[in-house]
Amino acid sequence: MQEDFHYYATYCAAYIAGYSHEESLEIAYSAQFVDCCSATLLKKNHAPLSAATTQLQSELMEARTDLIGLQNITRIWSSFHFLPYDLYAPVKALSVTYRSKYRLICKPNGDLIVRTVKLAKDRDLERVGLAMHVLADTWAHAYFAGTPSQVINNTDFEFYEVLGEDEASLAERHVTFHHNPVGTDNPEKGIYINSMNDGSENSVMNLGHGRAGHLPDYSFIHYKYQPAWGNYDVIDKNNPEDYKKAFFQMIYAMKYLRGEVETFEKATYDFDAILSWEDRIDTILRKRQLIACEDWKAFGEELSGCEVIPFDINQYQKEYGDASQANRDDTSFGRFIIAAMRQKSMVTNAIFESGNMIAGFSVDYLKKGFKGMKDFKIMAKNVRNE
Amino acid sequence: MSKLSRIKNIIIGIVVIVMSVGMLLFPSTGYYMATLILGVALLISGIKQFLYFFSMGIHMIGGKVILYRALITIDLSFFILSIKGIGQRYMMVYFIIYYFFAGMIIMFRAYESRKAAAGFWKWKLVNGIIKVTVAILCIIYNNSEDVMLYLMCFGLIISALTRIGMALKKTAIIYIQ
Repeated sequence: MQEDFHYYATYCAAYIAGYSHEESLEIAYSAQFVDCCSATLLKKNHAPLSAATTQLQSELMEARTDLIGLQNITRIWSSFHFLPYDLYAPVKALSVTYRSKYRLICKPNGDLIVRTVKLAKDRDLERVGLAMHVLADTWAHAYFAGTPSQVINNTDFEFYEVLGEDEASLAERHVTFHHNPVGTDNPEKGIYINSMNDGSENSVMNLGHGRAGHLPDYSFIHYKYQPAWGNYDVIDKNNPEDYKKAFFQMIYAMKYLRGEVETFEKATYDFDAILSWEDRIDTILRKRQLIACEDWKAFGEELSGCEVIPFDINQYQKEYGDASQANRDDTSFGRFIIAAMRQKSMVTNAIFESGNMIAGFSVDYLKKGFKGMKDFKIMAKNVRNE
Repeated sequence: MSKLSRIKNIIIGIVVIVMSVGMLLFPSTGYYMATLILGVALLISGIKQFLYFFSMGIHMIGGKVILYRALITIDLSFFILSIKGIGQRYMMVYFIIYYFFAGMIIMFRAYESRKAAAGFWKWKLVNGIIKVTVAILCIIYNNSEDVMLYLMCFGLIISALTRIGMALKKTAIIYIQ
């Protein structure tokens, strides 16, 4: 997903869920910031690098793919962009590594999304936004894993776009992939950019949905392909329908976080909340465009009657930089850092507890004390204050 | 990283450093050693790909390509190990290409880091310049076995030190319920 959904659509969902204009903007900002908070940005702000929620292309290209490097990549991408669906999924494979990687495949409505949403309950808006990013991505990034893996994330020649909306007019068009990193996708001709085919299992080219290009990030596209792990079964990925469910689920989740709904359960969507806008949302989602910011922005402004200011990556960095060391955690950026650490810590622990070592070691603070990365002292301090 | 992995990485790192220093001290056998290392490395890589196919690639759609690649790599390693004297030129070309392109890419990334105000762009720039300079020196002294040997030892020592450094780093994530 891109800025159109993570920022503008999240704003709309938050507003529909009952948050005020200002609160919705905060939530949307945090949701979009997950795609910006890289080690480079944290280093520039003298913030703990363990709070990274994404990796820039330049960082990925020079990322080490040894054991430590892979663990770092997996923690970031599995925690925030490819939340594992079932860490105990049955797999018919003898290789422990294959089983471990297979179990990191992302899908919506897994146990971890419930834990992610509950982690934001009664907490600040930064945590709400971060949880909404993770939730939305479980729909867009389904069937790929947040770890470099050729045997899981690779795609092959059998990749088709489904054109038309009703059963009678459906047609399939072969998708042509190019590897030009500075090129742009051409939906009209069915030509898209993807990462190179790299035969190395742990190459960053095989991370997430790189081999399927940006197709999972576009709300309008409906495509079919054979995933590397799927034993020749075809995945039918209908993004307009999936994105709509993501939107409904975000509204439901945020109603729960506001206290309007008592429990948060899997596969539950607030269909009723948008009955009057359903066609409008459907039109935005199905419009063949690479980025739908303008349409979502207009819809958001119509909802609240207020201007939805564009996302500015630098908005909160100065506040963080100007704050004294003691007060940094109380700034918006500081709260986002803690939210990111909590999420990364929770997901890594769940992966580790399932016997899967792909994301590395997790030390339970309550049982073994502080043994690990010192960056997490900020998180420990925050938990004590809670 | 588990304690066992840490110990293993430290031991491998020390062995590689000792071997590299040995090659520098006894350059007469250095060229022979370099050819042997390249051939054995390719052989190990081929065997690893072979195992990778049977453990993981076999489950992947189109995974047979991994098996073909493994067989070609093993064949290439046998070729290098069986032909005496011809490998030097290939290794020289390999080093020149590797150092030149790696250096250029690092310098390009230094430029990107500078734009992002990341703070470590100077270190990257110096690193890139060193690599490109080494590649140019290789072209100038393209018949020198010594240059090739120094390059190989330099690369091995750097990767061994990195391995030891990573083994000593604290990597566990703290979890608080």
